[in-house]
Amino acid sequence: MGYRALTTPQGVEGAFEGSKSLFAVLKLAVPMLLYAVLIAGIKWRTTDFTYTVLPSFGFYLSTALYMGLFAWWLGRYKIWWVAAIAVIFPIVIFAIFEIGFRVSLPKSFLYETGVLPF
Amino acid sequence: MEVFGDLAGGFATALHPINVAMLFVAVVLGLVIGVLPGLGGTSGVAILLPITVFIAHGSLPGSDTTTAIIFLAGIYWGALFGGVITSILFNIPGEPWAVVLLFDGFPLAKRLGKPGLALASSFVSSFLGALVSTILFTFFALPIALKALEFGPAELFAVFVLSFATLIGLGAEAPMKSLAMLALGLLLAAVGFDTITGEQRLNFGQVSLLSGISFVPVTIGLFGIGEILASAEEQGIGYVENISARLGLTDVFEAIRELRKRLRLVLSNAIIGFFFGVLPGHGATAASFLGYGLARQYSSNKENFGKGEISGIMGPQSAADAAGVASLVPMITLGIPGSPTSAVIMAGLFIWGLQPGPVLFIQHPDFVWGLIASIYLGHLLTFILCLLAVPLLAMIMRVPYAIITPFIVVISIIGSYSLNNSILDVFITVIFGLIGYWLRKMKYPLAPLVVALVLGDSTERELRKALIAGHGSPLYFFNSGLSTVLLLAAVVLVLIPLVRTIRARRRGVAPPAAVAHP
Repeated sequence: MGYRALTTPQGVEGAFEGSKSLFAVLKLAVPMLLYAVLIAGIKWRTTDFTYTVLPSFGFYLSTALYMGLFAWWLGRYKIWWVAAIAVIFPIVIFAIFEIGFRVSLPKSFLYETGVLPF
Repeated sequence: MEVFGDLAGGFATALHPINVAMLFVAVVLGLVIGVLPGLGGTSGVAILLPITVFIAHGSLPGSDTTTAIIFLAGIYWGALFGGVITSILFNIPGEPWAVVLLFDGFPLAKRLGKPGLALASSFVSSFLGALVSTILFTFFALPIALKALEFGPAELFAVFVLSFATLIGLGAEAPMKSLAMLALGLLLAAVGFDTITGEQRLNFGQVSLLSGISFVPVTIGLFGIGEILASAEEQGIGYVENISARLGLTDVFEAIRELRKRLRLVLSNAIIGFFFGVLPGHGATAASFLGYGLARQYSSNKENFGKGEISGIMGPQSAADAAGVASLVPMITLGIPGSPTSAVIMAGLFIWGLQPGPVLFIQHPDFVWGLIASIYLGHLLTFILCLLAVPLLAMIMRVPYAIITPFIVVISIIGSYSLNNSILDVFITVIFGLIGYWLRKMKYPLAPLVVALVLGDSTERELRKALIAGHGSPLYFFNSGLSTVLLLAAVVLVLIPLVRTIRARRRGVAPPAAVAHP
């Protein structure tokens, strides 16, 4: 009964309109999860040492990758448009939040080593 | 009349340059949020909530908590108006309360070729509905608050229980589902520290869960990300047709003439919408459906409904906007949100360091009356902007999906991160986004979850204070007449769906859906 309660919507229409709509959702959900993981990075903690499995890419690099990927993959834009989107959006966000509202968003591993300013 | 003096003081606050400027920004943002199909009023307010922390603490010259509430409420007003534009022009509702506009708004625009008249009718009736509701707000708020100041823990707990009961009894979805969501919300609210003894609980030994599950990341996930995922399915199915979005002065005058013919309907719907909005629950969405039903029932030409009848636009619109405004009334006076959006605004008050409820009227009269005055100004501003900027707003629909969708995700993640600078909150947002999407699919209502999450701590505190005062005896709640009545009313409300089902069974028909809710 528990399983049925979880999977049966009480309505006339079904949960999904075929596999197409399921893929439409997955296309959005999977990159979103990867995006969140990319911002945070993955660290493996043992008692005496912390291994970095995936270095933290920080907010700005991840956003550039994420928005660029969408423009390239779903939008099918020309490559310079993709590049422009990937560059312009993070810069605008940096200007509004980091400078305007003084919100410090997560920085990348390159920031920690002093290679990049974000 | 003391009210007029207070209101005048409120206008003095609301007309402060920074407040007017932020109201303008908020209304424009709200209109944009309203037009975008993947972003609703609740998620829009939730995403922008972290920014208001900086506004409230004076990041902008001259800004304070009043500026912050004016900003948040302004987004709501913009979204209330903006959601209908895409319903009427493109047959795509921008907001849940704009769904009814598909019945008559779109046919009037498309089939009868009068998009300008359809839009103008919607705006004038929204404005009138909101105005009526704001006037009622102005006169009702202070008496309710003064009464509420006399409440002890028993009465307060009874009020909370009553508001939970309305969510179950009057909700649009199955009552058991509302109950389940309510329980989940209370459970999530219990994570962290015990409110009375300060003991750790439900954190599973995790230090990061000690501060509890924050409200804002959960709401951004449930509403923002959940909505984006849900609208992803409709991409490619919907087709944006090119309708001229021009709105001329002649349309406005024609709409006002039509409004005068339907003045009784619009005014009575506004008043009904107000009282409906005061009840905790679905706020504007449920009121808009109710308003449509009433407009149809009392119309002399029922057969015109669904074909572009103007009453089918004006009836729901005035009720929806009235309910939207009214949902702030219990939030400000009792500390109980009337709708999910006002639950988010209430969370904002907590974060800025204010205690929503009757004490606000005593401790921060500038804040309360500034807010009330800004509702008048905000709606006037929204109305004017709508009349001027419809073509611009309609253009937002042309922004490609591949850009706008990830952008909303990015903004949501900034919103959830920046409140506590916590990466855990980002994951909470993403996970609750998936949960919210699945709940939407399975037709679980989100309002009880959100309301229970924001009220959980205060409900528990009042319950335990009352039990301590009564030396552990639950009979303490029946010592006062008021709390007895409120608790009994709560029981009656919960029993409504049950009685309805039994009566329907007796007649041998299937139980009816509570409210027509697509």
